[in-house]
Amino acid sequence: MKYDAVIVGASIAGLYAGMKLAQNNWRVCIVDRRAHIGMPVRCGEATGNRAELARFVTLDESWIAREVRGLTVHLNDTHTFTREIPGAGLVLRRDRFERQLAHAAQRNGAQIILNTLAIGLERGNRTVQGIMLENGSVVEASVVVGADGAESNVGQWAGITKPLTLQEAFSSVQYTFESDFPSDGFLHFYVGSRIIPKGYIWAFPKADHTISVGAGLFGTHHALPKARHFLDAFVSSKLPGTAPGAPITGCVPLAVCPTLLARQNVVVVGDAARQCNPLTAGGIMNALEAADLAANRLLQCGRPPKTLKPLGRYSCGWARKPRREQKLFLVLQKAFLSLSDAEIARAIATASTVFAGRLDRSRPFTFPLLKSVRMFIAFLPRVARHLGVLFE
Amino acid sequence: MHERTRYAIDQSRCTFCGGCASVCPSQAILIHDHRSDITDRCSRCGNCFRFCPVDAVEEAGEGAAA
Repeated sequence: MKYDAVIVGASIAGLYAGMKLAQNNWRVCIVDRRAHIGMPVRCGEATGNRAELARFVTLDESWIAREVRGLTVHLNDTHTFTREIPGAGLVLRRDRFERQLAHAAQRNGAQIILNTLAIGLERGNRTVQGIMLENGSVVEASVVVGADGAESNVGQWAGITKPLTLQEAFSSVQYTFESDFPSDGFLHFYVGSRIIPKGYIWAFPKADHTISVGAGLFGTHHALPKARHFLDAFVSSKLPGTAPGAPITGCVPLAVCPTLLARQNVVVVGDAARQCNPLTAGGIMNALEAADLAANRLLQCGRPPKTLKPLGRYSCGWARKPRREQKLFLVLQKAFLSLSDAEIARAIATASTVFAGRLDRSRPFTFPLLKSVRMFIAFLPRVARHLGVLFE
Repeated sequence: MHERTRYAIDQSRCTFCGGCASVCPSQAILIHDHRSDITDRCSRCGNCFRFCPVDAVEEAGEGAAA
């Protein structure tokens, strides 16, 4: 059987795109190397607020772990910046969320093949004919969607993406365990050279007195130990007596996404397309946004595709706004990494005045422009050094 | 001919996250649900060894480089 689309990767971007295409009567096949949808959860699971998610899916309380009340940043146990933010976002039960997307895709006729590794593209004379599976079979399809995460194998086979360099890979380790700390519904971030240089530690509240505590490093640094070293030190000092169990690890791309996100009849979305925030390493909302955009453009191509021109509009649409924002976040990330602890303390103090007023993300977002300009000027020398990123 | 370190993955420590495969310039690492292999496409650059968050990639002696 020839499918209209074969999608490699059954995580948020792949499942959402598959669901959307299947709802529009496309014959869809989704392939994943994992044996179970949504497992294991390699993610902090914090994401946008209800209104932002409702743009893409019908909300279901079963996959919402809890509301985020605000944000707290700790610097080396010496400074704390905390702000209550209405509508800050949600913490998901990502495994349940992904299973619901998978069920929706299957209800509309999509086939999901698990525990199966894709090992290459099946090439025809002019276009890609489908994907090759490790068991020797070929899944034939009119278009191939690469949603295979940071590995981005499909993107590399098609010549769209490159492997990540060690500096472009956010390496992360996370434990999830029962604890009442911190039980305030705030997302806690720990920064500073005494806690974790060149990265941050997070403690996110989950449902049922469970938290996830993780550490991530922006790039791999020869002179530094790995993220797990900092996380274990943190857990033993802040959460003594807890038995975190086996760690979950992951890799988030910090690279700017390529300008072309499609080549011939191959498209990439989500982490595979490097559509992540290089400062926060978050990617759930980006994955939904990109998968929505890509699926809409694929639908415009027709079934089977009469033209592939709309795929160019997917690249252009992404390059116009989200890619520019991504570059700005990359500048901020590089500026953050160049700051000393004293400068981070000053930045936190300035941020406190900038966001002294009510910061309400449940309504249309207004940015305190004048104060932001003042903050930008204060850190201009640090930021200016990295502005070259904007023109790459 | 270069004599460079070969690498192997300790399956008991590997969490199958695919981070090593993401930083592999040769697409030499295959990650299954509960198995990971470094194939003979490996160029022995050591990125996987330096990246692995749980130190599951180990040096497996020297040999003729590919």
